[in-house]
Amino acid sequence: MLSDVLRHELEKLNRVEKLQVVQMLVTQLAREEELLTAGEYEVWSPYESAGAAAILMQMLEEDRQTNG
Amino acid sequence: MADFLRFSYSETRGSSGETLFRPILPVILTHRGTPYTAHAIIDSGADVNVLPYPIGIGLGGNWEQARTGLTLSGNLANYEARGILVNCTVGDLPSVQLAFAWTRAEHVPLLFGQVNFFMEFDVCFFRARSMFEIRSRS
Repeated sequence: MLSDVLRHELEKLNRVEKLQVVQMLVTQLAREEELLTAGEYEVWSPYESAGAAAILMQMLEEDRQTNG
Repeated sequence: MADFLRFSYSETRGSSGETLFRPILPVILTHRGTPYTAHAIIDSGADVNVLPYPIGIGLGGNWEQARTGLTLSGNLANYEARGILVNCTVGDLPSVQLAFAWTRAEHVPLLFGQVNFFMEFDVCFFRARSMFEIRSRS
């Protein structure tokens, strides 16, 4: 929560200065968000793909029956 | 012909520069007579083998004629996948036929999973010694 002192100081700023504060905060938040998303990792390994596994097994069986 | 083959873990660099060790296996894939040298990550947690789109094209695979209906999980769920059969040779072990989930994704690793790489080969991981062994089922 904003302190009364900080709120009072912000209210004293002119329009341009207020916009500069907003821009500074937005830039800072975007940078922090980027740091957060950089911690996400891609998982390529298909762990829950039983349906796909069943189709592949069926393909192998069909090929075995066709080509021996 | 060898009974089993032993490989060292491959040292790679992660996105943050950290050192990673992975069981990466050099193989020769063949589809309709077209050979393709590739390196696959042996992934015992993967339900299926995964073939990246460019490798499938390099093998002469026909995307339009490949079996449809495959759905993958994880990041691969965002990409269409189809089924394709490919011959695989590991060193001088007997060649085997592998069934792959051929994903439309391009920047993904070649993965060897439970269906059906682990049905054709016994794999022993010796991570503490940075090596792994491949033994043919036959």
